Amino acid sequence: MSIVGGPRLASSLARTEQRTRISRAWRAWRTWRGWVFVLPLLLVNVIIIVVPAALSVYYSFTDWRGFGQAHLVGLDNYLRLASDPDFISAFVHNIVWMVYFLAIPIPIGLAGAFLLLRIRRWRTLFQLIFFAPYVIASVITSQIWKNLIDPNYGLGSFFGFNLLGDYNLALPTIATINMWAWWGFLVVVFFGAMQAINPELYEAAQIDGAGVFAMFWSIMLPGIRPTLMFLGLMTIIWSFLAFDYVYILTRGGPAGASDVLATLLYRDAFSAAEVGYASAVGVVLGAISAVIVGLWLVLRRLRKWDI
Amino acid sequence: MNDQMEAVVQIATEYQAGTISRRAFIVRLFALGLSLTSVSAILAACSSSTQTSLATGTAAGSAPTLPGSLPASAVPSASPLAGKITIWDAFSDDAHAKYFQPHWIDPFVARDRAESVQLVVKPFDSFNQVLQTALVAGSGPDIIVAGIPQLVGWAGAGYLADLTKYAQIYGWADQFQPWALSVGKLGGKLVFLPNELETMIALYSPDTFKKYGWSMPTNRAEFEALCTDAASRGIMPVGAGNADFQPASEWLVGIFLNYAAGPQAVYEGLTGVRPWSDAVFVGALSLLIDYMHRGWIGGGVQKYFTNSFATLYGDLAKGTAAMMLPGSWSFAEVPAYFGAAANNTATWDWAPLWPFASGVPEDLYMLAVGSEWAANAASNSLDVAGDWLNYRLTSAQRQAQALKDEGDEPAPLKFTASDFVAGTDQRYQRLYVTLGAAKNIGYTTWTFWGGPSDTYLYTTIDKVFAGKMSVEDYLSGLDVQFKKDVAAGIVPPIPAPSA
Repeated sequence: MSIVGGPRLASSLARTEQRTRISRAWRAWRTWRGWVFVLPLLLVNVIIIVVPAALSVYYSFTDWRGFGQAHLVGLDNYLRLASDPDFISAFVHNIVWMVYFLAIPIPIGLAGAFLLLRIRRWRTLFQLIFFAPYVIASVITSQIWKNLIDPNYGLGSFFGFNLLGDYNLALPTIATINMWAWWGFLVVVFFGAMQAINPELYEAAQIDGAGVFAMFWSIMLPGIRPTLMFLGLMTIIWSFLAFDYVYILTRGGPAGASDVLATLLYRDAFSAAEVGYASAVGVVLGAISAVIVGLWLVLRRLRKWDI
Repeated sequence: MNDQMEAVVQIATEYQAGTISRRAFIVRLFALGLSLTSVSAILAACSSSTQTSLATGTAAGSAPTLPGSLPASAVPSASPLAGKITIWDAFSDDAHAKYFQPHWIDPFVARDRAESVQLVVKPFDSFNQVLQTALVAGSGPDIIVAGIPQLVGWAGAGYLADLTKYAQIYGWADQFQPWALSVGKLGGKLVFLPNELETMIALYSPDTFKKYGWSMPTNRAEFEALCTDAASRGIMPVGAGNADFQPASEWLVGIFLNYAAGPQAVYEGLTGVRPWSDAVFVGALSLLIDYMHRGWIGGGVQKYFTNSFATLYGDLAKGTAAMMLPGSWSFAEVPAYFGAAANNTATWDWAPLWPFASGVPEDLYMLAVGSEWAANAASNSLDVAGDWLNYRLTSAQRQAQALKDEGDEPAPLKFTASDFVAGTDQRYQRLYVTLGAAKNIGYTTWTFWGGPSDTYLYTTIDKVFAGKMSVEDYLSGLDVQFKKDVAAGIVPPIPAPSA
C-alpha cells in the first residue's frame, strides 16, 4: 500500500464532504426560503389579524367595557344577542341590504358591460365615467347626496320629501346612494371578463342565427361565470360589513331604522362602552362570512368550478 | 432649616388656634418654600385633630415631627414645585384651540419656571377613544378632560388620581358650587373637577317675537298658544333636531322630566324613592311626544332626525323657527348666525324655561357640568397637575375673561356680578348671575344619571319619537338600567332641588 495517495485521498474526501454539506444547506435553503420571505408578512398578519380576532372571541365571553377588568360571563352576550331587538333589526337590515345589492347593481352592471362591449367609440370615456364614483371617498359621496336630497334646502325641499329622516325610506335611500358609487365598478369588472371570451363563439352563434339575448344568456354569462360568482360572493360578504355610508348619512337612524350590524357594533363598543357585547356581534359577523365562504368552497368542489 | 421649622410650627399653631384662616395658613406655608406634598401633609395633620398640638423638631437640622397621622411624605422640604405635565384636549374649532395655550398654559408656566406644561391637541371626533386607549395602555396625559360618563368608568378602573388632597390644599370646597364639586366624588374620593357650568334655556329672536306680537311663555297654556299661532303661520314653533348629535334628544327628555314632572319628582327618581315608570314621568314624556306629533318640536318626527344645528340657528335668525331649547353652550355657537357675522340684522336673546305643570317652580334652572377635568393616576407630576387644575378652574377672573373672549362657559364657581369682565355680553352675564342665585335646581341627564342610563336615555328615546316604542316601555327600560347603575355605584350624589 502506497502512502503517496494518502494526502490526495484525504483532500478528495474533504472536498466531497464539503460539497455534500453545501448541497444539504442548499436543499434546506430551497425548502425553507419560501417561509423566510413570507415570514414578515405572516408576522404582520398574526399581529394585526389573528391576535385581535382571538382577543375578540375571548372578550365576547366577558363583560369588558373597553377598560378595566374583564369578567367571564359565559354565553350571556350570545344569549342576549338572540333576544336583543336592536341586533335582530340590524341583522334583518343586513339581509335586506344583501338582497338589494344582489338584485339591483349586479344586473345593472352586467347590462352596462354588455352594452359597452357593443360600442366602439367613446368606450374608454364611458368606462371612466362609470368608474369615477367608485374612486370618490364615501364620506364625500355621502355628503354630496345628503345635501342634494336635504329636506330644507335640497331636492327634498322642492319635492316635499325627507328620505333620510323617514323611518321606512332611510335604509333603501342609503343603499341606493351606495349603489350609485358601486355599479360602475361592476361594469368595468364585468366588461374586462367579457372581453376575455373567445370572439369566435359570438361569430359562430351569429351564423347559427342567435339573437342578442341568446348570445348574452348562452355565451356571455357562462363565459364570465367565475367573475360573476366571485362578485356575488363578495357582495354577500360586503353586505354584512356595510358601515361607512350608513354611519355618515344617518348613524343608523332614525330610531334604528337604518342600523346594520357594523353600526350597532360600533355604538355598543364606543358609545355604550359594552365592548364584550360588541365583540359578540363581531364574532357573529365573522361567523356569517365564514359560513358563506365555506358554502362557496363546497359548491366549487361539487360543481368543479375553476375559482 | 431650624428657622423654617419654627415658622411652620408657629403658623400651624395659629391655624389650629383659629387665629388665621385656612387660606392664609396655606399661603404662608408656601411662602416658606415648602413643597406641595409637605403642605398637604401638614394640612392633613392639622385637620385630623384640632386637639392635637404641634411638637417641635426632634433634632437640630431635622424636619419637624407632627404628632397624629402625619405620613412620611409630610417632611417639609425647601424644594419648589417642579415637574412637567402633559394635557390632551380636542377643540371643535380653531379659535378655541388657539385660545388655550396663551391663556391657560403660558401664564401658568410664567409664574414658576420649574413647572412645565405641554398641550397636545387631538382629533375632536375620536378624542375619547384615543384617550381611553392610552389610559388602558397605562400611559396617556397627566391631565384628562372628558364627560362624566367616561370619567366615572375610568375612575372605577383606577385610571384617575384621587384629588382629595389638592381639594384640601387649595380649598376647592370654598370656591366651587357644592353640587358641582360633589358630582366628582366617587367612593368618598374627589376624582374629577367641574369644567363648564351649563343650564337649559329658551333661545329666540326678539325681532321675530316683536313682529308677531309674541312674548316668551311663562306656563304651558302660553307655550301652547304660541305654538299654535306659530304653526298656523308656517313657522316651526321649537327648532330641534339630532342630525348632528344624537344625544341632543336627551335635552328634550330632561326638560320635560324637570319642567313637567317637576324637580322634586326627578330628585325622588334619582335617589331611588320613585321608579322612573311612575305615572308622573309617563305623563311628562307623553306631553313631549304629543308636541312632537303635533309638529311643534323640530317640525315633527318627519323632520326632527335630519335637522342640523346650522339649519336651526339659521331658521331662528330668519324667523322661520320661533325658538330653540338648547343649553347655554349655544352662546358660543349662535353669534355666527346673527348680525354682522351672518350679514343680517337679526338679534338673539335667551329666556328661562317655564313650568309645564302646576306645582313646578317658576325660577327653576337645570344644572349641568359639560365636561370635567381629572388627573391621571399614572402621572409622575401629580402635584403640578393639581396646581394646574387649580389655576385652570378656580379663578373667577380668568373664567370670566374666557367667557367674554370666546363665549366659553365658566366653571361652576360662586360668581357675583362684580366678577365679570367689562365688555362681557350682558346676555352671558345675566345667565350666570341668575344661575348663581337660583333657588330651585333641576337635573340634566348627562350630569346626574349614571353613564349607561344616560346612553339609554338618548339612544332609545328616538324609538319613542318614531312611534316604535311606548313611553311606558321606554321608562320601564330606564328603570331597569338605572337600578343597575345605582348598584354599580356610578350615580353621583344628588343635591336637593331647593339647594
